Amino acid sequence: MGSTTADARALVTALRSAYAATPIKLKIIDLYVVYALSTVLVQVVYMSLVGSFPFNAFLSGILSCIGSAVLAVCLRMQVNKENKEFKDLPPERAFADFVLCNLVLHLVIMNFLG
Amino acid sequence: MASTASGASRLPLAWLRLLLLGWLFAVVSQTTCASNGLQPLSDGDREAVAGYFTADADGFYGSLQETYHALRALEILERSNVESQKICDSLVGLVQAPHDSVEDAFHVVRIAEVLQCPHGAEVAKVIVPSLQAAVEKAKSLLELHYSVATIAIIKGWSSKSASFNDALSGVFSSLKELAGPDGTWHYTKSSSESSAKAAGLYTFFSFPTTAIAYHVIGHIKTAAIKLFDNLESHDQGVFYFQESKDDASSGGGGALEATWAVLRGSAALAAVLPAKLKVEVEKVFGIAKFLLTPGLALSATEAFYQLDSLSVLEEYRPAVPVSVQTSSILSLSSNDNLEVAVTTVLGKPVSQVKVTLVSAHCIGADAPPVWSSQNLNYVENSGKYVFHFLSATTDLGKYKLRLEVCSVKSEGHSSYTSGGPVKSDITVISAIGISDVQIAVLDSNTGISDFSAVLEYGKDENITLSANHLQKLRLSLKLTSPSGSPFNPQQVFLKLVHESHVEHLYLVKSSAKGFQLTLDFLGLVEKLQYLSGTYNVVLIVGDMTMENSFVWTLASLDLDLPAAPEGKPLPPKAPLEITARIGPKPEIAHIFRQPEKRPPTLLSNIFLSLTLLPLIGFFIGLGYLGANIKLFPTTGLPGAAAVGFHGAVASILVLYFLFWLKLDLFTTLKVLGFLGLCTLPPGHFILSYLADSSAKQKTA
Repeated sequence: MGSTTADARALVTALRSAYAATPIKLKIIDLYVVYALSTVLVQVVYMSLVGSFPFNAFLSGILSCIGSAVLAVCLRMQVNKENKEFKDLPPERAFADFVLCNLVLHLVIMNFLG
Repeated sequence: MASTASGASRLPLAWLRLLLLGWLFAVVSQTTCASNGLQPLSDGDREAVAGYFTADADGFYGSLQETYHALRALEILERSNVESQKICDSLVGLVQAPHDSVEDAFHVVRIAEVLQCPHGAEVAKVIVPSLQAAVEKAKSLLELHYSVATIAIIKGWSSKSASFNDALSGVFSSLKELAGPDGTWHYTKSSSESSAKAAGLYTFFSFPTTAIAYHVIGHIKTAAIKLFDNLESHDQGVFYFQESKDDASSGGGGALEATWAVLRGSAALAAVLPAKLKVEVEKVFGIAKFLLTPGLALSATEAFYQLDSLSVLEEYRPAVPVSVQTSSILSLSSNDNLEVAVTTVLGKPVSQVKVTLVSAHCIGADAPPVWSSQNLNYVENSGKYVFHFLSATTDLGKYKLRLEVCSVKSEGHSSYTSGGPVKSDITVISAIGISDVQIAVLDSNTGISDFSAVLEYGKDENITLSANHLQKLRLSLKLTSPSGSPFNPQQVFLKLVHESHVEHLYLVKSSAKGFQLTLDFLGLVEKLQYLSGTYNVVLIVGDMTMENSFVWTLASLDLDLPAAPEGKPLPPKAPLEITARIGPKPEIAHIFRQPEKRPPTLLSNIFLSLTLLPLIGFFIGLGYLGANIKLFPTTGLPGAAAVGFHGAVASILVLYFLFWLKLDLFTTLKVLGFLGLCTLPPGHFILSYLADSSAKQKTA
């Protein structure tokens, strides 16, 4: 029992120090993802309190947040210099894609919001 | 025939009302009376119209013009409760008061003429000086109308009238400038609208002056005839003159007043012309139909125009329309004569016409006509034309008659017109004989009658029968027409009425031996709903040509039927109140879907603020991480491009917000396309600039 807690604590410390080494840009994107997901949480709690009417509004709310989070993760993958897959992709291009996809996502969300 | 020179034809409200009434009138006239489509002014209409005129304390009926209208209308309706003495006495005082308009003088003079006031000479003496000035000064049609008409009326009262003739001849030449090409006239030289009413006013006043050159008469006559080409027509042969926009300057009044003006004018013209003024007979008839539309006059002024026009039509030189009405039912038992009433539009009987019965056919039979080419005789004391239509051999039924009304040509009398040949339907009816009425109760198996009685029509005999379900009821009777042949009416029914008001109806069929019906109670038990008890046996005989159609309670029947089998619910008895069966059903209250329950506003607002919390957390985190915008280009083109790019993206987000609030998808997409195009150049530029600069940094 004691070893698991000690192991857990060691794991967390290791993760934290490794994370500190990530570039700031990536940390910003991570923070953005955390923000989007916490907004989803708030909305789900609200829905559980008052029921899901109107359902389309609820769906569009959470899909907006989840979609933004997904797009941010994609951006992080593409911008990350350690990622060999996207070596040739300039980060500005990735950012332009991110902006475009967000705009399309939000158009659809706004239409579905009603 | 509907084109006029008066530009746009706007439909006044009165015309729409007229359309509805005209249609109603046509429908009613075809179903009820046998006439030529023209009904003279009815007593009901006269009463209604007389009710519009109520006198004030001093005997007048409102303004001078209204008083004249009332007096003339009451004169036509032959009402004599008018305070002529009072009015005549006040007239002189009115004329002496100073006034500018010749219109008042015009109305005063007309009132004096209608009431035949004895003060004519005094009134004339006062007016004459101002009239001469008025004639010279008059510029528009209306002013001329008033002044010249006043002169025409007072001519007989004053000796100074001869001096007017010179002034008048000058007037006519200036009037010609007001004429239009198609028989209509304008009110003033500057007006562009022409109007039939103006034309009527023009011709009206032109007349009783003697010094008119022949060419002027000829010009006026051709113009007047052309005027009748502009008659507006409407269905069922109603003709009238349409009002024009300019008529408002002369007091408006609509189609009724325009038609009145033209009638008055053409009547005055016809009285002066040596030869007859030719107007087509259908048009005169159509105008009469228009004027006799029920409910035409809805105010005192309209009543005056209607009545005055009708009185003009009674003596109209071109043609006098008459109304022809035939009796619609002739009874053989009372040996009625066919009576045809020929009257003027105001109801006065006309005796100077020849009425001929051209043909009379029995409807439904292809036989030759019963009568043809017979003349009808005028009977003095009833004012009608009479013909002895019925004979011993006349069949019962409906007949189609065709009559012709011709004017008897005589000097000085107008020709009368009935609007063409007159078609009417009459019905010949008679009392039908009922005989050999026998009612019997027979045994079903043997056919022997257990009870039988012979009834006589007209006697109330109170017979009681009794029967059970093993018996039959038989009824037989004979019906004969007055000529002795068997008569087949449209309705011969036997009705059984239970004491609880449940009724059953049976058809009595005819055969060579007369009418017979046998009711077998064994087969009818279920139809009679197993109801035993006392029934009234009622015989119903009816026909259109039968004078004595009847409902006759023959006997009362005690019927004994077996009880209803178990388990079968008795059908509901007929409700006593007929309205319960035919009346309105109970109102249905609809239940709509309840709207969904929404959460309380406070809770929603709390969660709204909770949603914004992560955003705040995001910005705090950004600060904590040390994010900055130091690389944001500030100068030159890159700066502008960066600002442009961010601005365009922000504007797209604003567009989305507006889309959520109120725009629709199509508008949004259009604007989005435009904004997207705005975003592309700065975005591309700034991003490629940043890429280049970071590549340079890497290599450097």
